[in-house]
Amino acid sequence: MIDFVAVEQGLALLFSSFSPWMVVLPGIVIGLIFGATPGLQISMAMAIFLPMTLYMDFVQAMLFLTAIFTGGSFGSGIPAILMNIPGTSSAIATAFDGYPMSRQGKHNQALGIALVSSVLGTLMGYLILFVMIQPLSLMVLKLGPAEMFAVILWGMTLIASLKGEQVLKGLMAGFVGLLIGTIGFNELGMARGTMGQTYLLDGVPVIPAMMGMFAASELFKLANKDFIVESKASRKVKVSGIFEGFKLAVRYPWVMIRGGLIGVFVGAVPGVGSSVSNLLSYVETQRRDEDPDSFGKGNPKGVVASESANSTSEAGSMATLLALGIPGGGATAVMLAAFAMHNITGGPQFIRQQTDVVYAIIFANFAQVFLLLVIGLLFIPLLANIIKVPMRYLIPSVLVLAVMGSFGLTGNMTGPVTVLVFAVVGWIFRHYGYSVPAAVIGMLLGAMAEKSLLHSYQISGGDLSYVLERPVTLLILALLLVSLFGKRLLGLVRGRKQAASA
Amino acid sequence: MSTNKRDYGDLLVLMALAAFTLWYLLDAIRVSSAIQNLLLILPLSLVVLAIVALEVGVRLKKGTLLVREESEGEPLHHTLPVVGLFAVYVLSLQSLGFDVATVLFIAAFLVLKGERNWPLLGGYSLAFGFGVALFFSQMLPYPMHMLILPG
Repeated sequence: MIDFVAVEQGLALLFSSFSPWMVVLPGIVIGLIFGATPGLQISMAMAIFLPMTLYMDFVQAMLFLTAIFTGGSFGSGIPAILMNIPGTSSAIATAFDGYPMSRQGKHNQALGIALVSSVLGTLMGYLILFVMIQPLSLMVLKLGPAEMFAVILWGMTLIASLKGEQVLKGLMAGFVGLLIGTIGFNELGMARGTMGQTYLLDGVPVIPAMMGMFAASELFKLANKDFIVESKASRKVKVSGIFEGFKLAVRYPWVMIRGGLIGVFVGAVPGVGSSVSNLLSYVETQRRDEDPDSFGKGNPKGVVASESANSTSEAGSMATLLALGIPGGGATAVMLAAFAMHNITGGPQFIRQQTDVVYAIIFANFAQVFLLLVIGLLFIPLLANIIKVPMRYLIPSVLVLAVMGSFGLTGNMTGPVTVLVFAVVGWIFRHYGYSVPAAVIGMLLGAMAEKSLLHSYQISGGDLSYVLERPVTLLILALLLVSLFGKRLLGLVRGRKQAASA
Repeated sequence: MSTNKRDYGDLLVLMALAAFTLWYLLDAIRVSSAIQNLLLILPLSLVVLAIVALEVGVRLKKGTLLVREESEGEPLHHTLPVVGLFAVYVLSLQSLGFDVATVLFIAAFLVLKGERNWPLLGGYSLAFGFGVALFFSQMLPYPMHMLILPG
């Protein structure tokens, strides 16, 4: 599995000169800033700084871009924890428990947990990638649209049923979200649900919609509060609290390992990636926990589950990029552009012929995570001061950032107007107990779900027995059923056993 | 059974979701009835409508059709002015420019929420509003409409 000659060459590539490392530090800082600023995206940071990689060699360029990726993955969790605004879709589940922790005055611990989970998650992801890059590349080749649709369905159903007591409302919000995600041009080039508006032809801009539903609607709710954390004593930023978070995170190794495995494998599915993996990991952790009702109310395991999964997804999406030349999402799409700028094509041949370069990228990421730990520790106390800002100053400032960021994403007024519309929708959903995360994930995955279902239909010719020939699809569907009914079945079996023994 | 105004809202949201789903399904069918167009939309819409029917059925059976079961809500009269102000801000960006509209929005929000330290109010609105507008206009590759600052 491991080519040791290439390992040696990879190490030589990294350590023969200091120049590859000079870009890592600025890369992580850029990623942190862009990830932590609501409205700015990791992919946006990478795209903005992509032209700079023209002046770097390929390894250095990859180190720079993966450093932005690594910094951004953790950075996006910071506003999710402090303001309930996931910097990117990969930090949605981080907000579920991170934000309630902040409101309880445990923001230091939540940020510490997020940092350690990100660091260990990234480390775990690249370790798995190091050992399994070649088998993983073969596995990814076997994934088709049917598997993608099954993964989406799994993620959707789980997230929609998160709020145990309001499953029907959750499912409704999720499925309506999926429908909204399909608005715009279909595969035949015909537009649906646009009401004649040209700005909807490409669909509803999902990230601005997410900002509106998550951030703006939550801020409306908090408009009458004086501070995020009401108690003055709890608003202190303490490095000791961050270290407490470190200890809390490592107390749940299985949550982290499960999140890591989900992150790598779901992250490797093109187009799905960390947006789904953080949610799957969160839901699985909640489902298996002895006290599932404590989730969503500030359970540290929720933050560990989400952050470990979204950071390992980076390694998963890198596997797909390196092994197949297929970008898993926006960030890896920018990396693909960097590949092209250096006349390199990803794929099985690239892995075979340039294994040393692949290993060099992996090893560099091992080092990056330790740098992230140090830089993160320096940044957190600065950023955590946000909770000391009175809400009357914080709310308009964050709303402005969301509006400007959404303009940056669309390049016209579509972004800000989408934020406004979905802020109102999100506020109504919250008010009446509909699942906002389910609706957002639905919107995020709607177009992808339709495309993968359509491609499966085209490949199979409409023959349902095609699914029976896809073992991975069957496995995912089985996992879906186990996730939904496993606990209930287990309870039934146990009940019968107890009845029989009594 | 409570039938006050707030309780009607829950039923209204349910009906709005059903109405949107039905409208979208009909619009999609109007555009094309090809399988490629309806493969996901048709079954999904039917599932949503079935869930709405189920939810209404469950509530009718429980006698809670007009009763909201859970409330994370806050008094509407506290939130609506904030929502309105935000709407005015977004809709005024094109006419007032990102710079001036942002400064005015922040200042108006602070006044609305009881800030009476006028130098702080003015200073923060101007510094944050102009600062953020300038930062984004320099960072983004598209022109941003500004009234005073360079776009």
